[in-house]
Amino acid sequence: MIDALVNAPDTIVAGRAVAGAPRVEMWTAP
Amino acid sequence: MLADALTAPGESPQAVVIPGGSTPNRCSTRRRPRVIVSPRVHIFYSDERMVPPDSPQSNYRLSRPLLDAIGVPPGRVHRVQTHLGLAEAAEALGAEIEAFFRAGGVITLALLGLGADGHTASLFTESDLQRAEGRWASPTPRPEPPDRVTLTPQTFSRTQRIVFLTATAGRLHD
Repeated sequence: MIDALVNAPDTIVAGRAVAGAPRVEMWTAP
Repeated sequence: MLADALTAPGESPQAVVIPGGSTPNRCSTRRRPRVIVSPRVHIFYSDERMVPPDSPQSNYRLSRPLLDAIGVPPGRVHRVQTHLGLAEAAEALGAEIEAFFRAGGVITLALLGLGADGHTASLFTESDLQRAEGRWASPTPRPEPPDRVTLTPQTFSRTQRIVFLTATAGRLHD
């Protein structure tokens, strides 16, 4: 999902916001 | 992960960005951390609503249980000066971030929420992103109050590790 976010910078704000950051991960609470 | 960032060794100032909403409290209540916080650790907020610090909508207020639990000194907590005007508050926070970086500071971890619409921090629209260009912190006027102050892509790009915290498949962060 993070790959999708970062690689879809034209459509998703979060992806553009973090597109240049060294390391992006997702953690989902149980 | 948060405990590691708060206790990491090193000489330079370090910062952790914490998200708005109820996520910080969830961290503190689900697994109350037993950590000795590094004296070099600073706390920034991913974004903040322009409300008084004792407002139920204040991310600063929402974070207090976590910060109190882990013992972050108040002087290391860079809360948004919401008594200022929107532009002034963003500018003041930006100046604090710039000073932090000029002192050799490193943001080691940013915990971010993720809205069901794909927004993070208080970056909702293309206009918000454009307004954020060239800034460390940016004003985000909202159609309905309260307005917001948000960290920017420029700041997030200087962050060593970004983790989106998601809790459900629905509305994750406001």
